[in-house]
Amino acid sequence: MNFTFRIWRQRTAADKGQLVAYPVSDISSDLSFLEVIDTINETLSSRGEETIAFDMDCREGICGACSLVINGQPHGPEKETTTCQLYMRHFSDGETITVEPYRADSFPVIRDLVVDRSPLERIIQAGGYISVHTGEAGDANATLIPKHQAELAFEAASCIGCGACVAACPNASAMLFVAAKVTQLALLPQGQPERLHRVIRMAETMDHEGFGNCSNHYLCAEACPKEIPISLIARLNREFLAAALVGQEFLEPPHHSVHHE
Amino acid sequence: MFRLIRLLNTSIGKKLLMAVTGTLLLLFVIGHLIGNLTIFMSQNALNSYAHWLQVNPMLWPVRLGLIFILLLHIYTAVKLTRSNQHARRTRYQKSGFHHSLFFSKHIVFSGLGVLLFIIFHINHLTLGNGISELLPYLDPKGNPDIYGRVIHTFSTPLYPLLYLLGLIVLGFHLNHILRGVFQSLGFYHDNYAPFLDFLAPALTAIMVIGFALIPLAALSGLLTPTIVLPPYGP
Amino acid sequence: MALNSRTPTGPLAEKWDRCLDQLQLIGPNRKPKFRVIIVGSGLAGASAAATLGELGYKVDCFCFQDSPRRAHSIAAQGGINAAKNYRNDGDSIHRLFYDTIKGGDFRSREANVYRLAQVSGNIIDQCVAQGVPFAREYGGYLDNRSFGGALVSRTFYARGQTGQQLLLGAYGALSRQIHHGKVRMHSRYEMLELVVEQGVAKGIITRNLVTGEIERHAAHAVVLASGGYSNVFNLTTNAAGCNVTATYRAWRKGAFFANPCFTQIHPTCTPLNHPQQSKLTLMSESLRNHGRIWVPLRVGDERPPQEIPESERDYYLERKYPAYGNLSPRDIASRAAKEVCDEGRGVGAMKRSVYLDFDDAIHELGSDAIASHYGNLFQIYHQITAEDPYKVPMRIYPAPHYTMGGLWVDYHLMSNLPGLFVIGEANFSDHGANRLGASALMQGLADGYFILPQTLGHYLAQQKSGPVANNSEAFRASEAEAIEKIARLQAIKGRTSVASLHRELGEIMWNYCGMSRTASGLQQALTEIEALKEKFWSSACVCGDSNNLSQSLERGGRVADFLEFATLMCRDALTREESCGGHFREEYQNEGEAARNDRDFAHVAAWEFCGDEIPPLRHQEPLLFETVTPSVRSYK
Repeated sequence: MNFTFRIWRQRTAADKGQLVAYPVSDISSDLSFLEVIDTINETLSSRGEETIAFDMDCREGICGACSLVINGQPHGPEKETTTCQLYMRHFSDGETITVEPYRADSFPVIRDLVVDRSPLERIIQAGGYISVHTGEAGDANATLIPKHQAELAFEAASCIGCGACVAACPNASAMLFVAAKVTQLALLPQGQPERLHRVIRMAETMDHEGFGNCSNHYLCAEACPKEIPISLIARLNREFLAAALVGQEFLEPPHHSVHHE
Repeated sequence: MFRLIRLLNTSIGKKLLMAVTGTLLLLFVIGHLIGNLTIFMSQNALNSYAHWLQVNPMLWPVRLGLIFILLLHIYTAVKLTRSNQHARRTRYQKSGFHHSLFFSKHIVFSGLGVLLFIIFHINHLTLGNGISELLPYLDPKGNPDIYGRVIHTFSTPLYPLLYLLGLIVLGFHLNHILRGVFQSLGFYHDNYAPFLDFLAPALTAIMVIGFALIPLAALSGLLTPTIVLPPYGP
Repeated sequence: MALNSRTPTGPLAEKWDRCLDQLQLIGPNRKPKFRVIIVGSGLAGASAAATLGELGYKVDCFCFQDSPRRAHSIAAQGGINAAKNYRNDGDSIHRLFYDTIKGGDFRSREANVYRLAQVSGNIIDQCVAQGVPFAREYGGYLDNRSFGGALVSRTFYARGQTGQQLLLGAYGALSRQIHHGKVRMHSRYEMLELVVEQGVAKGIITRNLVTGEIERHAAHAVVLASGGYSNVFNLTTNAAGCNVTATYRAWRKGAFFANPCFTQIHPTCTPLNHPQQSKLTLMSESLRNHGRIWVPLRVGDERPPQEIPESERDYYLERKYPAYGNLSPRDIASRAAKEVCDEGRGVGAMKRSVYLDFDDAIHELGSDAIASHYGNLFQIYHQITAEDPYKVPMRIYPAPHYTMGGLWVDYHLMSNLPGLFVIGEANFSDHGANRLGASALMQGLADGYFILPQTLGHYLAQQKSGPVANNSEAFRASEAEAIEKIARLQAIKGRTSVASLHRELGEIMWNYCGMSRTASGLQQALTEIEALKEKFWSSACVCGDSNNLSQSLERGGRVADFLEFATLMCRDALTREESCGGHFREEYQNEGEAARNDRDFAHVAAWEFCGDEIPPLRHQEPLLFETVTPSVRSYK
């Protein structure tokens, strides 16, 4: 198969950047999308040129590192698929394929297709966990969790933190990401003591990091490679409202920044 | 109070405010529709209803309340839109989602359209600009003949067309936001999703068709003024 | 040099408690005056960083990914073992210990493995408390399954994402400590050098992968949790970024590397379909419960599988190992697949795969039953290969998956260099010559949550607390080394891509130091690696600026280290003149069965770096079996 790849090149965060066309020919339809960029990079190497920078690691759809916007869609056109699991057989021969980095003011471009997703880290740091010291836990079977509830929590927990939801949203909103973590822990008995606290901190940090807000386009759920359902955002709203109305924590000063020594 | 201020400072809080004010406005519109539909009962029914509204001591408090809610709704919408634009200043060179997101993408424009429609409507039928020659008419009971005004106004194609256009814009706006209202208020749940997904377009359809019946009925001649009285003397 | 494993005396079951009782403690006021560096943020690194942060130490954690949550522990599918005996099926700490040490073909340290089994239950408790959504039964209790041929159901799992869910639990705990300022997280950082001062680990030299800055980091102790080195084979189930640099650089600074030839090759992975392929994906081993493995009887049989009649198929595992058949152990199944492919009977475009056929099972049980067992896996396979396993047989091939070898550590998980600790896959300690299924996650978390935080405290208690200097001669020299290596890489200015050189190295290692090894092959590999090294340093293209994000520089540095490390692996394989676990020497076998030599090789081979021009020294730590008697396995 033959393609023309138009790939975003940008040397540093400060540079302007532009799309550069790279023709590729005689590509096997069994190649994955990233393997095509690998071959372009090998060609660039053989000419002594700087390779195209892009994030990836596991190449089996679970680490959440890969982060390309392919023809305007994060992770490309296939549903439930990360970029690394996308194969060229899903494109038509001769197609021109545009590859851009995630676009969101909270995710500045570092180089070429690599962006800085650290705001998602800070949202988790603000409260996306259960505060338990190592060694404190009682026996694992001491707390029962109904099977159905455990499965719902699992579905929410399957978020891989790739940020495609932010990239897809016209407002660069991180609601689906936050909703997934809030839902997972709100559904589990272990998550109850910090339930109100957690949603307040995470939602306010989300705002603080400059993400937009949900205006119900639902493109996030469409782009999500792990099919996190849109209804989780309603749950996030519900959890947050409850916390705002009754949570004692809502009267305490907000936590935005990481405390350093 | 502290809770409220802090809540409204968050994006989720603002969305909630949009949903709450929007719902109140929608309730008004539903009431307005029910009142208007009395036109199909009789001339007297509509005119008495209108008179009852006019002499009601709650008229101005309610009007001021509605204006306040509307302004709050618009103000919050502007703030949210601006912060959203700020969150994503660079656009994709190639846009990818092809299926129709026309309504939601143009929520701001449909909102603006609804605002224009409201201004036009109040100026036209409430304040009576452009229909001043109809204002002096009274019905047999001595109430201002609102019924007559409506029928006359809609007897030529121009105004029905303008109103239908306005209603379509309102329909766009409602259809999108209703689903969003359930989401923002936290009602949306997978168990009830099919019902809620049905409710939004159904409610929108009732609104649009209900209101549209009036100009259409007048234009088609289904509704005609039964008694036309001369203007009450000077 | 005598290697002191510091294994406590006394009965096996009491060793860990005895050790704990004798460890020195540090008061809560003093703990914040100690700084600890952790390299890697997978299950071992993240759990250690979180736990040390909770205890009050000042921790700096480094990872090359953009987030600690992306470490490759996330890809583990199957599950995690724990001797909870929730099923009342006769499991116990001793049984888990015995299965693990036997699975490792009696090449691991008894006391370490026993301790691993002892803390396994605490891991499950801890993870459940963190909100890890393990599979549950209708009664709300945790579900268990039997895994990898175990006779008891002791494996806890979260669908096919156990690794991900466990890592997210540890990541949450780590994030909490970052929030509290106890851990400073350095993402997109790579460790380039270990700093050793008078034989003691004092810190590391890193490169900020975004700005290219070379930085010095000093601490009271350095913990390596940098994972395994499977990627020396290039095409593996590991993530693209997995590398040996941290442990290899530590080796060059004096840390001993133990059993580098012990690598595990997983028999059921997606096959090689085209030369540019970058990845082999693991398909769960459970597929072999219902699938039958075969290749055409005749070399050069090009017919599609459905047209090959039964009489012209060779169900080679069933033929060679009638008792276990398709369920033969990982190493045997892998080796047999390679043999038939080497004979030219492999299938697929590259002739590098064998059929895993579900036709009989579908006929017998119906496709719905098969779908309920393997639906998800079939879907993954379909997505990758565009072939439907319900209609045509799956094609599988073995791929390097895990490395049992690693830096040598004692019972305290400290290397021979005081102050340098090694945990998780990066050390060698618990899996011997072969790792059992569902025990990698267990070991990473055991080390990070429960073992290291205790033993590290003992070491620190004997150190002077307070500020640490990073301006000594050792720091300066190590930094200069790191800078010089980058300069050398950039000075090559060749035209051969690093990726293609890595592929060449992978092929050499796969052919000569893979699942079947011979003395002559390993000698050949040593020669070829030398030649490849020269080719690398004369023609590699490592372009891009060093003061910016440069992935070609990152990979160049990693492959340069793999090239040197590969030599060490081959040497170890060459000197271990026996077959055990994942290490199979063709010269030492009884009709295809591994012939272990307990008289001469019941020891850990720990290699010492002696300089670039001098061959490394091989030290031995004898393995004493006080409780178990090494047995010989037979699968015929």
